Amino acid sequence: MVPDRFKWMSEKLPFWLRFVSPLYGDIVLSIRMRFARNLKGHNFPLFIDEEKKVKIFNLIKDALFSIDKLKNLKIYEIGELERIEKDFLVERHLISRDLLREGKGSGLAIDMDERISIMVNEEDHLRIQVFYPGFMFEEAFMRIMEIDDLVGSTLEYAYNGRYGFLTSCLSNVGTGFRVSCLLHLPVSFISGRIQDIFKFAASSDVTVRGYYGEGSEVMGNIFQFSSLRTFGKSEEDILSNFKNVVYRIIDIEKEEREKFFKNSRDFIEDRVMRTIGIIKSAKFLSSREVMEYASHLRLAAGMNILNINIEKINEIMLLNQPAHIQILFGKIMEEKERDKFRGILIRTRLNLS
Amino acid sequence: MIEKKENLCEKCKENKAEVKVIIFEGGKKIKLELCKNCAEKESMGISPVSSLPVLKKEPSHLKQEEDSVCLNCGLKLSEFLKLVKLKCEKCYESFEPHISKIIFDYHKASEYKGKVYKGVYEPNREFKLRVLRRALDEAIKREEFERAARLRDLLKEVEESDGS
Repeated sequence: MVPDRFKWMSEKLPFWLRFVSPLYGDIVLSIRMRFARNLKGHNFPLFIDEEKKVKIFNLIKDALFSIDKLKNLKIYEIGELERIEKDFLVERHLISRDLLREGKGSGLAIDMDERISIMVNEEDHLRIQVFYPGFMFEEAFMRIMEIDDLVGSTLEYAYNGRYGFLTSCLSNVGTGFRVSCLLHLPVSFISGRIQDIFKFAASSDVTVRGYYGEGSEVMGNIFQFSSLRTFGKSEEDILSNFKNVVYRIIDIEKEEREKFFKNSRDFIEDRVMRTIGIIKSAKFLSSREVMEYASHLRLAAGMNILNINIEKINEIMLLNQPAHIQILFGKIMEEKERDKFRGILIRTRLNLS
Repeated sequence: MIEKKENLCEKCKENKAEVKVIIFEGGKKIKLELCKNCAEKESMGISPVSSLPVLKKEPSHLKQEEDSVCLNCGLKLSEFLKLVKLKCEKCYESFEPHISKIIFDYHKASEYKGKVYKGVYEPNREFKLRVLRRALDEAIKREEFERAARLRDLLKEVEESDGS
């Protein structure tokens, strides 16, 4: 049996996937920002025992409950969650894989709309994160600044004038600020321009990773870009540098799409129709396969070749993941069985049966 | 019968291959089966050497008499240099000048810029207004009308707030 603790969450889409911005929504999936913070007077989490962690966990929990704007957050301790639930939270990008290894005294606080996720006692006492759709950088930035202001005025952070906010790892010291986004770059990938993008990003203090899902392969032509350095630049400058990099990448992908569309419209149409054919008739669909198909559909929808909402495709990209399938159907399943139920789920959601 | 060997990582040839990764070499897409460590480094064809600065671990030539300890938490300098993780906020002072050197090597900067914190935050309404006005200019210049409209709403909200 699957516990139904996260049923409420599985039955709806997070804000960052539900709202597709008319602006670059076909390329930018989501953005995320985070602050790494520690409490003054307590050793960092990697070095403390469970008892101490529980104490800090409760301290933070009480503080969050005492803040009017944050008291509706739902708080979970990692130790009380089943394996499947933890995987579910990772698939939803709400927590890191590192947090999974923790138990008592580590956890997370999330809001109903999944705009906020605060990880407690991961590498630092607090990892305050916000998630927003499309190109809503300013909304996200205002929000995370506000949350940090509120928490930092309730609990005292470890900070000094020389180094800023003090973190367990020196790669996060200073602002503790990181901004990242998921970009869908199918055509740059096919054409090879992706290499220019990687080089350009690296030279601008931005790192690239894949959208790690099952098997940790890069899937669905979705790439995660993140700002790298946290010290020496203000939060605002880190954000504006990052935005400029993202603008440039969007421009490249758009350029490539235009060329591709002009030269290969038949190819795209053919691929989309084949994809729909497979989804309609396949008995088993693997998660990796579905991410590839979703990528084709997403591209076609963005180029108005296919009359389907990008929201629908986003939904599939989220729900098709293994823990999601099991939570949605309410039972623990082996891979083959999941693949069967995945087919059913996707046909239903896309009205293709 | 020959027992089938477990696939080894194609990069380090030591660990078990657990991850499939696509990398680019000479403009070609290549699929590799790697262990988790190598995948982390190789994924997306960017090796950390070129893009990610790595926190340097330098446990090597520290003589025993040069080792020191953070009086607040008891972490030894040699342990810190091995882990590159700190145990408490006071380690920052205890392990100078190593701290400032590592920070400089990684972040290429020696001066902190960012939010000012004195146990509480100063009101930052002016800061928020500045960020939003800049973004609004940017949106107008780029003819991003939907975004500009959203930013105007946001600006109004901050302007009408009490400044806390």
